[in-house]
Amino acid sequence: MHGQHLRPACLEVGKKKGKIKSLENHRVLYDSTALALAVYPLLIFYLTLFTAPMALYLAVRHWNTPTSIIHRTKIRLVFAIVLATLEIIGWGMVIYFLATRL
Amino acid sequence: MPAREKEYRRLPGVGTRGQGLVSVVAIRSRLWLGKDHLLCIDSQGFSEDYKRFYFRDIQAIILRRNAHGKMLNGGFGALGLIAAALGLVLFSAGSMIGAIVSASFAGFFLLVLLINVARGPTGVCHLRTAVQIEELPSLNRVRRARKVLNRIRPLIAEAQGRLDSEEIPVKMRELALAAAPTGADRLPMAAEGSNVPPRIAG
Repeated sequence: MHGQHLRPACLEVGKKKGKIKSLENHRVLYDSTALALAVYPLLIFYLTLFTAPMALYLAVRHWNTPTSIIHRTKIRLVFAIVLATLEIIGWGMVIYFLATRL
Repeated sequence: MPAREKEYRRLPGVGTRGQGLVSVVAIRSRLWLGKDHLLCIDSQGFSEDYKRFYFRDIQAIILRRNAHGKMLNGGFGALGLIAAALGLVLFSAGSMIGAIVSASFAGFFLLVLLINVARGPTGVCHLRTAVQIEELPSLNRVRRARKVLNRIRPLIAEAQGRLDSEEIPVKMRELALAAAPTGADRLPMAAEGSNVPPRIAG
């Protein structure tokens, strides 16, 4: 393959781990998922209580996971982290306010 | 520091891959030009599927016109006419607001119709290799498809070699001779190789 001789086992492992780019035929876009989890629930604000930590977890957990095969920057992950952090801080303030006032 | 060379270059056009009558998520399909292959990316929002078509493997790219564009034109034209007629009726009845709303709808449909006309005739493009015939939904406009084909044709010729028009019959004869049976008892009925034209027994 591309001038390289690979054993079937190596080929299988390479495909599974995504090491051989030309064999990859599917990728999950964790950056888009994290950003969507941070942005869309803003429409129904209460959902962000649950989705913001999920978005933050996804963005941090998959910081090094390859995204699209087309070269992409990490801007989506950065936005997701910033937005999710702000949402979590917001909820923290709301909970603190409620706990101290009530 | 030299700029990092891009691995893929985007080719014009975005299409939607059909998934039957009912589909939950629209699959957007796009073509990218790689060093030695075309990459078709089917995007479902949160995941992508990739298909690679190496220039050396492409046997044919089939482009044919279809009537989708004309049907859209007819649909939008009819809707525009209905809205305009309704606007006229409302205007003659003295309802200015109704007439303005109808005229806006008529203008919108006319605009969509004009955009559709400006984009040119629609078509379907298929790419054939030895093992598959794949539709390329992003090449759904004839003009755009021709533009893309003009761009990839030299790359395919470079990968496969060029064949002059005089050489084609000679090569076909050679292939036919190569595929001919050696034994006299075998009657040639059809081509054995996928690249050989079918022969009818006389």
